[in-house]
Amino acid sequence: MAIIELVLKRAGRLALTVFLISTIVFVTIRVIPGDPARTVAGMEASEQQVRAVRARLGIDQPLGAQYRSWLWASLRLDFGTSFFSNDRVIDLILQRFPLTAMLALLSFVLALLLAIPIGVLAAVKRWTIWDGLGLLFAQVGMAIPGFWLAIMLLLLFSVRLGWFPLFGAGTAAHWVLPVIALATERAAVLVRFVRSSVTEELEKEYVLAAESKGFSMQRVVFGHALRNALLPVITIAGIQFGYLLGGAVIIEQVFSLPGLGRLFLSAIHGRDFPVIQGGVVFVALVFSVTNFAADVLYAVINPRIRVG
Amino acid sequence: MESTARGDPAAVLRLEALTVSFGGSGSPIRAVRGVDITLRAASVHALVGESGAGKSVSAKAVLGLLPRSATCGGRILFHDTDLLSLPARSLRAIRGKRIAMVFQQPDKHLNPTMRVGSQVAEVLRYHNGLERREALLQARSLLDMVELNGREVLRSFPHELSGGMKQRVAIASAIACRPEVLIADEPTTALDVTIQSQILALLDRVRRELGTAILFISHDLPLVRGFADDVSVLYAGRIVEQATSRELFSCAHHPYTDRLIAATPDPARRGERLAAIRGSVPDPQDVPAGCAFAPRCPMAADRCRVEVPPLRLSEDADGSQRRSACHFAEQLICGSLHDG
Repeated sequence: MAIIELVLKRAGRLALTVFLISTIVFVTIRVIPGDPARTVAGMEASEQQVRAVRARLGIDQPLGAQYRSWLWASLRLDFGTSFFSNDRVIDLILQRFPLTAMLALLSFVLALLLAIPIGVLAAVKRWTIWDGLGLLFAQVGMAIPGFWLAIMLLLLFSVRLGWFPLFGAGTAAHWVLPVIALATERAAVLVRFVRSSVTEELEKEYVLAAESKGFSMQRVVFGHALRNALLPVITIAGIQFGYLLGGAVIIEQVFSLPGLGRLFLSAIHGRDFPVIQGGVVFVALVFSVTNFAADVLYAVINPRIRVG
Repeated sequence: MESTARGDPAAVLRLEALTVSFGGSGSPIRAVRGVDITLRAASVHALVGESGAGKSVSAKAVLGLLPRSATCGGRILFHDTDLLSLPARSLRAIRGKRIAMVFQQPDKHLNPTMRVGSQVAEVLRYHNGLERREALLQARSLLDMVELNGREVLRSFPHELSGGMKQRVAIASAIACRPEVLIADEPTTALDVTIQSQILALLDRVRRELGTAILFISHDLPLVRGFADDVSVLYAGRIVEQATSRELFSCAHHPYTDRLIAATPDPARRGERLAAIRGSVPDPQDVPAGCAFAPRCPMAADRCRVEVPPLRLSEDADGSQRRSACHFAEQLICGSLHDG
């Protein structure tokens, strides 16, 4: 009952979000300078040829008409075809999505594997050197841009030491550096959340009650406090996963990985409207769906929300 | 271990000159300033006082549950072992197994995301090394013992239960290992009056059936009447009067106890104005010199403002003895202060 209500509410919000984002993107890419017809036709093409291309691509129509036809098509998940390759946008996206999703997923797992132990240690050993190191990691990790870290990792481990391949995808070794580069910043953000959430739980009365039962520190922290402390972290982690998708676009560039990032960037360069629009809507959908999944997970895990 | 033969042989827990202060070297807050309490086996000793008197702090000191900023002095003897000088590991082996605790707010002292059965079973698995199934089975009969429907409640989460039921769950997990001592820190304060008496009856049953000695902490003096065997009245970190419950309620030997009893609504004195104690509890950082109660005491003399009255034996006209920390304990005639 409560779950169904939550699903409906979130589905409505999701639809609204995607609609707004798609509208903004639709307008933005038409406002910024650059003419896809000119690019498609070539620099030497005559004004007449360009006009013909414009008509073929349908961008000679009034803005309102373009918007309406695009909106109707995208409701059926038909994002049109690329201006340049004539491939269907949805195919282009689905071809490249697995790599990006894998990169984001691996980074997400690594970020959690780093953030939970560091955050817990910092909270349990508050105001000690361990806490200081944890906070230092959080501070430095958030301050370093992912792409810079990626370049530094490449320089050190691939160029200088030759431990990992310089670019491309295919083997497990190819994943290591991109995943580290992408996960670090997310882990840094999550460390702070885990630390404050665990700290908050440790001050609650049920923790004192658990201590009064003679349980060891590990039992009190991992058996009692952490379980409750991770509930709010789930929501945050869902949002972080969205950031990972965005971050992956950039990291893919650095490591020359053929994922969504490269597709979108070349689409932006060429003003390939259908690919840009379809891509943004797709990412917004994935972002909303992961957040939504986090909310549902939260509701399922938290017995105070769960209804039997 | 030092011999402690001088005490009552039936004593399971003895606080000797217990002091607790908080904060650093600057101006520490002295919350407990020398408390002696003897808890006899299978008896109930009530520790009564207003908030800030130091009763909860004393209770938490027994189990070493005070924050790190607290410094304890004196001794806390469990049989012959001084809990204050025990290493953390040995203290943990006693906590929850031989000395257990029940807290004031049942809805805050249970883990919200853990099933009730698991919370009770956890103690048994941890201390007695039981298997999960066996522990849950025992948890069920413990829940039955505290007058809950074990089969139904076992898989419930705390938020699905009422306050009184949650306190029963807390009691079930506290008595799971059949502790010799149960510290009950205002276990009925957060509950409805009707539930209060049920919980008291339950605790009394635990005492009778398991032989558990109970250190019962309360701000409510009339509540402990008929339930406690012994009563210690605490004021500003010191015991002002200590007696058996029967003696204490028949006639107070300290003006503070006297005023507390007088401040209780009495059906026989219906329509009269209820006596209140003027003033308020002293700030623990600024406890008056001499008797801490002197500024609020109707019989305070000059001596009271200078000299701290020691807790000493005083004798009543009928020969009953109790300990009172009042310079004028003998001159205090029962009910003499009960003027309007």
